Amino acid sequence: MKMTVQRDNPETREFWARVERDELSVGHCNGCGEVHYYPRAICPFCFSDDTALKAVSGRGEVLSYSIISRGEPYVLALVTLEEGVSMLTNIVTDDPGAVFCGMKVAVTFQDGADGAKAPMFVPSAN
Amino acid sequence: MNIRGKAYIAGAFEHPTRNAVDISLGQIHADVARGALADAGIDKKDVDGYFCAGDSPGLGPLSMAEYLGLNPRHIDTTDTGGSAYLLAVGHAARAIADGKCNVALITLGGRPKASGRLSVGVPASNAPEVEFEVPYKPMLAAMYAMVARRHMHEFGTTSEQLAWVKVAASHHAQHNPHAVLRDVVTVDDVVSSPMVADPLHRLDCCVVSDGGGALVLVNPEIAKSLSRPKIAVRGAGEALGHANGGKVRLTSSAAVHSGAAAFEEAGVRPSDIDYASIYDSFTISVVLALEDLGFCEKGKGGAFVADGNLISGVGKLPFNTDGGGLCNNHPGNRGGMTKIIEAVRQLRGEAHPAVQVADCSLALAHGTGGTLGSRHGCGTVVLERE
Repeated sequence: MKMTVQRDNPETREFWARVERDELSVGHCNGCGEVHYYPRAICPFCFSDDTALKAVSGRGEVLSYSIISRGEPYVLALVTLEEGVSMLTNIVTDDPGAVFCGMKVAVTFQDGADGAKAPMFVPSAN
Repeated sequence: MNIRGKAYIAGAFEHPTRNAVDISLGQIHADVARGALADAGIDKKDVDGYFCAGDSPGLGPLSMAEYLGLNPRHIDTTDTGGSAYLLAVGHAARAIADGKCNVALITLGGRPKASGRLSVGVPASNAPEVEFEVPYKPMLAAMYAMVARRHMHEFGTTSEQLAWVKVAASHHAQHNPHAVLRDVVTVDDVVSSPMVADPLHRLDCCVVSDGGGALVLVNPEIAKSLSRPKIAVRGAGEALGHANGGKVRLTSSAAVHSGAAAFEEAGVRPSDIDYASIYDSFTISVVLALEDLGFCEKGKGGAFVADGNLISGVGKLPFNTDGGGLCNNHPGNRGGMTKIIEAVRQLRGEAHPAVQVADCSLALAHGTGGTLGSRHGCGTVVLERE
């Protein structure tokens, strides 16, 4: 799949700037206290505009995954962060067959399909 | 307002083509509109409501209304992907009950094969989620595969159980001369077919085909004047699901709500249903829908579909007796329309004799459009022969 994504979105520019510095963030709402992903200017839960990016640990576990073997194999996954939100991502591994639901993973920052750096995950010991 | 007894499906038509190399997209819409009106015995000039969705070329209904020569006084272009036509039936029935129109036409057309544009689910570049998804190559089958994988993890569902959905569809498709795939397959055939997106194999996926379909809904007075069997829209429900700000639920769908609404309006239960059309984009789509609609307990869908339980004349819940999207037809990558059409055939007693459900009086049609486990829209209708 060849697609380019324009990352000149004023709403998410700071998220991607942090990714360039190897930092993962989620949206946090000061109105209701909930975190959300992907990050938005207006909280999708309470509609407060008192939102900000919140740096997260980058640790989580695999909610689910699929191995796509057509061409160079890759692992599409949903990872649930310790902070409670799930994000679409890739698991970066030489052994896709070892991925499982509930597997502990940690964030890594690598070039995505559009050629820009994106948060992905690798298997982790803890 | 309850729609029971206030709107009837009078005409239904499925385009026979599966590869529209010599037919334009507009022409498919015209072919199926003409076919459904002829089936109903209604003149085009009597159409005063027009319903179409994202497959319709041009801006909303404008190009197709001009091309078809329609002058509707009521229009609706709700789009939820392949389930849109289920929603359209509910919307048309309510519009008729409300007096907004008397004869509603719904059309679908698509030619992904002939046009060479086979891929689906390419996101609009300005959609807010795109920058958080495209970097990860989220092919559509893999999104459904993640639902299947999680279902296996939580409930012990197996690939062999999912395969039974395809096996049942193939048993039905062998009797459909228009079906893309007419060979009966076995569980082993399915699980040994190439992996597309683990754990979904090629035979867990629906076909890609050109074609289309149309429906005509009318008010009770017109229905009474026609010679066709009266197929009442007894209940309809719709709902959508999405990632919910990151609080993702993979193993249930919006069918929980669309189904409950349709059953409540119809005043019936799943156990009353004689025949079910369930949008089968992938085998897992059917398993999840059957659970969410209440045909079985959550987590028991795999066991429910196994051992031929969906095969007409064999199991308890005959489904997709035209062969469904898995074997027959998936026009324009949108499988909702053909689900309704086969339900109408069953209720009229016009399904193929080998798959016709005896004394079929109550049917359900259900669709999941968009992406299961992500943004999706469900529509459910309960139809009754009067």
